Amino acid sequence: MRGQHRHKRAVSSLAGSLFIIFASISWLGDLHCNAQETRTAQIEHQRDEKTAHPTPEQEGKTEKGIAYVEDNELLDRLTYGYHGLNLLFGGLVQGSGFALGPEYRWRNDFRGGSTVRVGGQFSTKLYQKYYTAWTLPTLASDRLSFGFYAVHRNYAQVDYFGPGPGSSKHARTDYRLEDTAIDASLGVKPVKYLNLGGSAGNIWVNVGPGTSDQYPSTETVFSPLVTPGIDHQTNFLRYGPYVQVDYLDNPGIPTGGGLYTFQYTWYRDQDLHLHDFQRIDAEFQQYFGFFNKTRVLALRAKTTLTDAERGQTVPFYMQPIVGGSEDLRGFLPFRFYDNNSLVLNAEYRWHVISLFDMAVFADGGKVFPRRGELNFSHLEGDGGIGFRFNIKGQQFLRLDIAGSHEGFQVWVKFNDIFVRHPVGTASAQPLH
Amino acid sequence: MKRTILTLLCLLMIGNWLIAADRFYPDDPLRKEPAPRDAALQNRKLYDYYDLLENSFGEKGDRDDRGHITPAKGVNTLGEPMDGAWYTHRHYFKPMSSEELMDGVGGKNPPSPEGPWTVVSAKSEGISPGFVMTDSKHDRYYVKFDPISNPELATGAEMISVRFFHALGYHVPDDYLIFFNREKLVLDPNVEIRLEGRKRKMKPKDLNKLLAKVPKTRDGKYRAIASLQVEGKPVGPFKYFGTRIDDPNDVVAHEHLRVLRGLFVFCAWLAHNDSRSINSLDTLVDEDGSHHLRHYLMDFGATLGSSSTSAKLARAGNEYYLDFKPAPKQMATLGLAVPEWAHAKFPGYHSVGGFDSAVFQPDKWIPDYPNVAFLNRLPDDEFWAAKQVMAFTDDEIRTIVKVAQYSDPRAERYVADTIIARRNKIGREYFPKVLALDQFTVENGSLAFRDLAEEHRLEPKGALHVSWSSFDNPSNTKSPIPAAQDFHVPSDSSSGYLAADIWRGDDKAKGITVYLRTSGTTPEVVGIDRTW
Repeated sequence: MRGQHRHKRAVSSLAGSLFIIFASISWLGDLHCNAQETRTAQIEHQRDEKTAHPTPEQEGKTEKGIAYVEDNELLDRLTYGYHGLNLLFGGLVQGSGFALGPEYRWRNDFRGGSTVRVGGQFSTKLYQKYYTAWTLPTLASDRLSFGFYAVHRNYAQVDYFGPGPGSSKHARTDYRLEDTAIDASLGVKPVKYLNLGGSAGNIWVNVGPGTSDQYPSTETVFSPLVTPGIDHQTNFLRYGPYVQVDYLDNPGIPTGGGLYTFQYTWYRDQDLHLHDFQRIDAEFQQYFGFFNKTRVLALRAKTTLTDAERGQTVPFYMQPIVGGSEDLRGFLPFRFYDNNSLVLNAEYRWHVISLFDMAVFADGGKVFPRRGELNFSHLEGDGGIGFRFNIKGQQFLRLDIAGSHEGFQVWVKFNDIFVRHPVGTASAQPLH
Repeated sequence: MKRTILTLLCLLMIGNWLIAADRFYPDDPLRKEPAPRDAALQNRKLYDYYDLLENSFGEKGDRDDRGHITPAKGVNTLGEPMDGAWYTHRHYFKPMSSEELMDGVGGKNPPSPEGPWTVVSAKSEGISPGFVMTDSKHDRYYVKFDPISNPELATGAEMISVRFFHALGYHVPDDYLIFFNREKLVLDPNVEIRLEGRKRKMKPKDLNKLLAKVPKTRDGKYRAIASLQVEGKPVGPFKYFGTRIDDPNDVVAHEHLRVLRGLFVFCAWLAHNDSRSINSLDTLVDEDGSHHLRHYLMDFGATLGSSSTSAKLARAGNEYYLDFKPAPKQMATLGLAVPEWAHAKFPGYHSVGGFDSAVFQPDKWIPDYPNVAFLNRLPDDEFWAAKQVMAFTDDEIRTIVKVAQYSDPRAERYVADTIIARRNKIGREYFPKVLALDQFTVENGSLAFRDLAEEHRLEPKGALHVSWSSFDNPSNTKSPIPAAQDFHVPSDSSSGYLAADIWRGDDKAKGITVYLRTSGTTPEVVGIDRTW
């Protein structure tokens, strides 16, 4: 019985094995029959497979987002505005806080092309600026240029530490600066790189108590004797010539060439007749690029000298100022006021990656009461490191960390340290 | 238990015999892709910024750096891409005449000198002006200019490179160098331009302004590239990974196509760091009775020393746009660790820009952002491209460079010399990675071939050795024929196929196996395997 059972099991097992082998051979045989006989048939089979099993292309969230931005031309609208209307970030003086405002820009074909700009900026510290400008940069086949500028500024809490180089960091006060200026300039370009011209305008100034809760208002600490003009303000007629040589290789991020600016401006006190003076602004920028301009030595020297008429003074709100993100970076903004100033900057910049440069820098500078003190003695100094973020050949953000004997300062700015101002009386302002 | 194991063994043996595919089919090697199927495709938009992010950070495609190596696909059994949507065998395989090299795609359809040229659309913003025009034959041309700072730079680069890429086998546009006066242009009344966010009808003054941004020749003419609109309906660019979902003929992932992997070497040679998807175009062409895709490479204005809108920076070809790897070293050393590429010495010609051969290292060259097809390249892909680069003689290179019509003969000489020097570096870089033998044939009963390393005087070390085997096509196995030890094809080929294993000196790792079909009247080379 047991033997019969074992025999039956063996037979059924053999039959099972044969069935599996038969079924497998049959299946594999089908496969073999389906295998292609030619390379062409093999490729056609791949095409059949693809046609039979289409996998839909998925658009991810990032792609959808970028598609929305590009299809709706959002970047263009941010850059160029919408029907001329644009939103501008920044554009106010240092220390104003985050600033934002609309600008309307209209370009037309008048006289070879002109641009009209009207705008306003407002900051988190309630600073305000309203302006209009009309520029014709290519008159007479690009030989002449004309500009008209009108601006009203209301800066609520501008810092003041007292006059002269010996002022104390701890004597910090603030005042309100409110001014309105109208200027026009006419420039001639006789040869490439050279721009000669003259400009004239009027500025009305008002100074009032500062709005800071932390610091006293300037007029409560400093008397008109040491801070001329704190009690009464006036308006000025201003005019003068300028000359500029510009052979920078790339105005956005210069890596070679130079920019030299010299302008002389007469200020005529139209109201109080106490503050007639002349002002000289001279600035020299030089760039030396090496290793294919991946390393750049950037140097700048600039001075502002004033000369009041006999018996007259330069009011404090028209004095040169040193300190802050654009000159002595290891010091507080507007740290030093006096009749004259000298600033020296040296930066070694190097390429880190394509969108990012770094810099180490040293600044020196001083203010001084008499022009005879224009020398390199008694300079305040600082040094630091900078991180520069660039896009499309333009710097859009810089982070500078600077240290001096008065402490450390961190600057996050959307401009170049050697910021390029337009020439002419409109730029001959202590506060840009 | 024993019976089960026996059953499985039986199955394995029978299965192996049944499903084993032949290594070679009767129609191998295919020189041309099988006739394409009809495709109905819609235009696909590729967003520039998305393409940058996707390729820089997206890790798209099947990447060989993930632990597996995928040999190139889209090739025949000789390892050659087939004529078709991507590629056509040209100069290396059948040397082109000087006229053909200079003509490029066609050379027969420049804008007609008869009648005015009508501007039908324009790009007025940005620093790279251009427009689209039609001539009196109603042919449509894309017109591109040089940057005002660098006359002849971008147009020269485009004229030269488009001809090289054509001779290398790619589909490219038919470009012409044109010179014209303002009076030649008329403005179609329906042209619109966008200025500072405002769209309006374009006026003749706008065209004047556009032309004011471009340089003039000494005789007061405008010099530009007129690129004849490519054949077919444009349906957007191709990507360097995956396949186009709506194209039934596109069955091989692009990152594995030899034509795109090898493109790396051509781009390195001609400094085409702008070789991105956005500079490609698929068009739906009507050919041989079917509508199918053709893949074009477009826009060569940013090759050689040009970056289209200015001279090329030394960084180009050496760092990705979004490349964070060099940052720690550069930050920590305060930039005192100057990269090798920053030592490049450019000649100072405005028309040449940033083009150099001294610091050029072919294998370290990179495009503007990662390209998975380029990254997947293997030594045999590189050899496939390098042999085509090395096929251009000095005279042929100088002939092609002439089409740029540089006004300064020193610029022409410098560009040609630099292309020649970079060509030589490519040969020295990629030929030694494999055994540089190619174009195998059977002549007078012997296996003949070109020893490219010898031809180009790269001084390969050691003699060539060969060992023959009979090759069983279905089982893909070789049976040695010990007596056959020279290049004479042995007569023992009962299986219908022979295999010749070739190596040089003692370096058996870099070898080639050449497969011959002997069933015909004369032996025929049907396959090549390379190892390294």
